[in-house]
Amino acid sequence: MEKSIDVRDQQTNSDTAYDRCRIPAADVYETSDAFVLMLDLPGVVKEGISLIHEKGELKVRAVAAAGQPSDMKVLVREVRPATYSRTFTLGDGIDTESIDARFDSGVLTVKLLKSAASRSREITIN
Amino acid sequence: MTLMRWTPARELPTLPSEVWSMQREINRMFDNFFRGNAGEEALQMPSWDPAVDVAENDDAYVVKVELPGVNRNDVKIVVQDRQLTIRGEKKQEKDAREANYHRIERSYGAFQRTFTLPSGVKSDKIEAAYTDGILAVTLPKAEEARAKEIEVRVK
Repeated sequence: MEKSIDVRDQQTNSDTAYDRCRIPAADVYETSDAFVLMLDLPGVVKEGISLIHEKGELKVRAVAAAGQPSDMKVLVREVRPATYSRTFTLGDGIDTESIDARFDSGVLTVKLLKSAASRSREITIN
Repeated sequence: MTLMRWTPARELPTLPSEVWSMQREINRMFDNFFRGNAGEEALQMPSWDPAVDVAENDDAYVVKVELPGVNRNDVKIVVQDRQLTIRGEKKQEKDAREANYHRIERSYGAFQRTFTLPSGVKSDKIEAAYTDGILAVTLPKAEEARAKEIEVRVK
């Protein structure tokens, strides 16, 4: 069966802040009626996320809130100040009218329901 | 003296941070690879180091840890012998555990970071807050550790 969510990690030309862009870690799993996409976006507030579905692609962009307040002197920096960006290609088996997204504790969860034709169902034996 | 990360590989302190993040990345790939094949036991192993920022101002040190998707009840912050340890576990959601995975890049399992505290931290006044996937631990400085402004008269 064709995989219904594919990931395109190449940066597009529109990503002007190319080297500041951070690719968020993603999990993709499949249940009987949906594909679920989970993305780590720590330090982002809900209002800072844009999720756009366009031409068979799902584009996620997010801006992390400002790092340390300016009166703070940085001693250790491992967290890259970030704009997150990642694009997913959606296959045919997804009902694009019913994409559900929620954001909690720095994790964006996108539920993509399968179209009726691509759901697995158990067939009763008569 | 300032707030120090505790690094077992202390003999390599001059490596640029890119090397450490590359090391983390490679560790993550290995973790993911072996998790795919191993059983439940692999999930119990300390398996990831969350990224940390440390900053200070006149009043306090602030340690910020990236912990997206971690339940705040699964995080423990312990101060002992001038060592601050932040440890915990990121659990996979129940329905996700049964599911058919196409891709696992996010880190799961136990994590731990340890810091040596400078003298002059009010260890009984340490506070922590968890918002939007970031744990912020504030360590207030004791009076004598704060920078004081001393006016020197030039004669």
